[in-house]
Amino acid sequence: MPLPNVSLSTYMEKSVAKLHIESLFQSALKREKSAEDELFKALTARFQVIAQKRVWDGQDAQEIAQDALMTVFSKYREATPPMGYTPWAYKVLSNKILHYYRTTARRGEKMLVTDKIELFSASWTPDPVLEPQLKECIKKIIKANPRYARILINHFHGFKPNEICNKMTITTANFYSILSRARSLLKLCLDKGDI
Amino acid sequence: MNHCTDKRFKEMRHGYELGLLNEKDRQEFELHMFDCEACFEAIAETHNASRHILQSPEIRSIINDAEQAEEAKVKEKPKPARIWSTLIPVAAIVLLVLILKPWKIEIHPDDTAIASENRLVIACFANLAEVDTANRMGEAVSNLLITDLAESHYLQVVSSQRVYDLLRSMGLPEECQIDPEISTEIAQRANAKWLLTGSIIQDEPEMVIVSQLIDVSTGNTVATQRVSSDSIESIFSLVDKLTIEVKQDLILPQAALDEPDRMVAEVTTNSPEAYAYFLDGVSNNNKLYKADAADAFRAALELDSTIAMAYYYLSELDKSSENIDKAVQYIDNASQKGQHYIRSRAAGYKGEHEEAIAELEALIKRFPDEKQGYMLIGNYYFKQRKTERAIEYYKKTIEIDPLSKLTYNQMAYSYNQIGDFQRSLWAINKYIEIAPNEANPYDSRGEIYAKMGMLDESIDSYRTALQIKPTFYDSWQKLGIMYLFKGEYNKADSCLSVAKNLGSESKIQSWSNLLILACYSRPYKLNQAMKMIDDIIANQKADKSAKSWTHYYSLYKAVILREQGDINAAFELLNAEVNDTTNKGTIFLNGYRIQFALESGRRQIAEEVLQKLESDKIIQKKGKSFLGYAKGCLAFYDKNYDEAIQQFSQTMKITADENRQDYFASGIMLGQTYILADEYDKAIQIYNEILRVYDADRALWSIWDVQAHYYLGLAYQNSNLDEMAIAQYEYFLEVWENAPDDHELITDARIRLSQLRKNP
Repeated sequence: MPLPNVSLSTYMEKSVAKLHIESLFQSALKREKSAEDELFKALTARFQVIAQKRVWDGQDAQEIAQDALMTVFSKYREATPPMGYTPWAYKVLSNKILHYYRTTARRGEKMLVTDKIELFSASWTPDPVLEPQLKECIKKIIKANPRYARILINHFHGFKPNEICNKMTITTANFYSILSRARSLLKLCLDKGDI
Repeated sequence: MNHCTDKRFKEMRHGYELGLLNEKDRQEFELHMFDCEACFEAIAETHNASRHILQSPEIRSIINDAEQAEEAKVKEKPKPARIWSTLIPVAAIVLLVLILKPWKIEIHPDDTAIASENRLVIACFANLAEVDTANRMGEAVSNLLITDLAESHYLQVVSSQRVYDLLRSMGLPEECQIDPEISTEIAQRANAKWLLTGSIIQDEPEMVIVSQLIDVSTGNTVATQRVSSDSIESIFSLVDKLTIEVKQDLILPQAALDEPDRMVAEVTTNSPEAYAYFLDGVSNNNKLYKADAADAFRAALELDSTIAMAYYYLSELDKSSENIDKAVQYIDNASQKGQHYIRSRAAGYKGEHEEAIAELEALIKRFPDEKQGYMLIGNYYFKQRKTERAIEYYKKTIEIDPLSKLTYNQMAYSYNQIGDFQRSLWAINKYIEIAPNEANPYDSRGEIYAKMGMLDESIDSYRTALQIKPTFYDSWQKLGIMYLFKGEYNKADSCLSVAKNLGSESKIQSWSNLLILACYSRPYKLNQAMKMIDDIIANQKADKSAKSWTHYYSLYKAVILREQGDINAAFELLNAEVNDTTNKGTIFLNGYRIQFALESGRRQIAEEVLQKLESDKIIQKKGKSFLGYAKGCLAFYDKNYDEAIQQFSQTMKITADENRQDYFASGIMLGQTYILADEYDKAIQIYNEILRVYDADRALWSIWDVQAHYYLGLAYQNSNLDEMAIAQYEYFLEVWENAPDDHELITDARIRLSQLRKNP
């Protein structure tokens, strides 16, 4: 079925959270230059964030994101992926990350956070402005939401999410809910200096 | 401000930031971020803060202190929710059983693989003993296993090429090392019953390989194997050991275990280094990196000069019969699959196409995944002009690999050959869809349009090809030819000059020169063309490497001399060229030499030359086209039109795909013969056939090409198709506006045109 003829401005309307990467792919396939540019921009940003979250090493993450982008933009016209373009683009990135872990001496993506902290400590420097502010905020959040600290400390000790849930006798939904509330407090605190 | 409407994902944000989502949720959340601007922005915004929470020792210390106090409080709290969290799922299960039981509804797994009996996928073996990615021992082991196990008649082993094709169709990189989940999916897609995965777990002091045989339909490991040897040199014997173990675990009939099992080194090489180069060559060859592939195969042969398949691949890359002879010499060192390929190509090189096809048929019967086998059969049928058969095989290739771009290319030319232009365009557009950033598909489409007589569309396509790859001299050359036919000679000259400068080989430069000549001869600027030929020949005499091309310029010059009325000089020139023993490859000039001898009243010489040529057995076999042309000319000047028609028709048939210069010349002569035999409708048919296609061979015959429009006009006029005749005469006079007024054909065309206009 042909896609509805949606203008680019619709894709980018700021009041709507949906970006419709799939539609951007479809427009780019029709050789709409502006759609292709927009697609490139959106994917670049997402690839970089996801790669950084999963790889930790900033420079490696940058390279993985670029590599994945090159693959996506050199191949996306070749055939229609049965799963759709967005999942396919995500799969390309995931494969690059997997490949990275396989080809570096590191033990793998699923290594514990304690190991990651140790492994990447050399390539990380604290932000002198953010850190003191964050210290204060964390103290306040823990006071308001003590279970947040328990989750974090279990995480630092190497427990996996389901193990933390079992230890704290909470459901996964509840687990995410605790984290979400803590995040809202953190955001508020960082923006306004207090909660 | 953006907002996320999905509460679940919104709540997952911080879990994601801190790396606290389980695998499934993480994947879902990341995918969600692609379309949810709000979640994406939120994550990007607090990236730094969450990194600090994880990495700052001071913050971790604050959290640690706070947690200790909190833990004590939590232990004291009652846990009422647990009872419900246990009871609710149990109750749900009981309820489900009660509902389903009376209806006898049974739930089965719906993803049972439809696996072929004894069909096996071998995943790339991981080399856990070596972190150096340049070390490709794992890849070597899996490829050797594929080769060794594929020797069994009781197993269907999926080739590594097929695995790469499936990866490509899934949008994944064509890499040997793939994720276990992807391996299973590949095995399912390949309809395999078994999947063999494994690892090299140790390479010193002894090499140890472990592997697992997995039932694809259940995902269960049905057997494991462990083999070891004492040194790296024995990788081949290690694979032999593993082959035996795998065959035993596959529960094959006793006959499978009793069948002759040659050592894998016997069907590949004894040298691990040579095998590594060989694998490199195969990999590059699959990616069409021809120069790299040739280098790798040569390097493999330097280490082991008996690798039959390295010679086989090289024979394809450098089109040399020498390499296929070597492959035949060492054919015992190839696997059964390889032997089929070698025998087929050896037969093909001898022109024994039926035998070549029979070998390939045997190959695909035994190895039904071999898309290359289907493609090669298609190519042989295409050469034989059994185009429908060729298309059948191309379709089978596409069934195996829907992204096989070169097959679509071949299909486009095949459909074109049978006049099915719609499908031809469909196929070439599929090629473009698969490889939109490559120049070649657009170049091919330009050629298809040119064969369909669509000049403007062809020009557009070549231009697109050149936008993608400005150094693609093929497209420059073809674009020049299109401008030539459009009568835009300056543009044509420029394009052809670019092609000449880009092409480093003397062949490309000489072809471009010949086509530039057409920019002068077609608009009847014969003196300029003649001067250019003389200059080129003078330069080529100084450059010995290019001398083999002088006979083409001599033929061109002879045709101009004939056109200018000096048929004696034309004959003498060709006669001298053929008799010059230092010249090679002049034999094809004999057809025109005999024609010009007849036209200049040297009938005896013509007959003697023909007799001499016919007595030569090699020429009888390889020179059918010019012999047929010469015999046609002899019959034509004897006014034996039936014989001439037969000879020229036969020559056109055998030169339609190769040696098209003779095809075009024969067409011109056949059309004239039909006119003299008063068979005007057939003359019209022939002229329309040869004038429909815009290609280099037609461009080279530019003088005769323009004249053909005059003769087509005659045929139309004699068939009382006056309007069509007028169009042809007008076109002829327009193109040859520079021809002298007293030119015989020009004068006649003007008179006829005037008469036709007066008597509409």
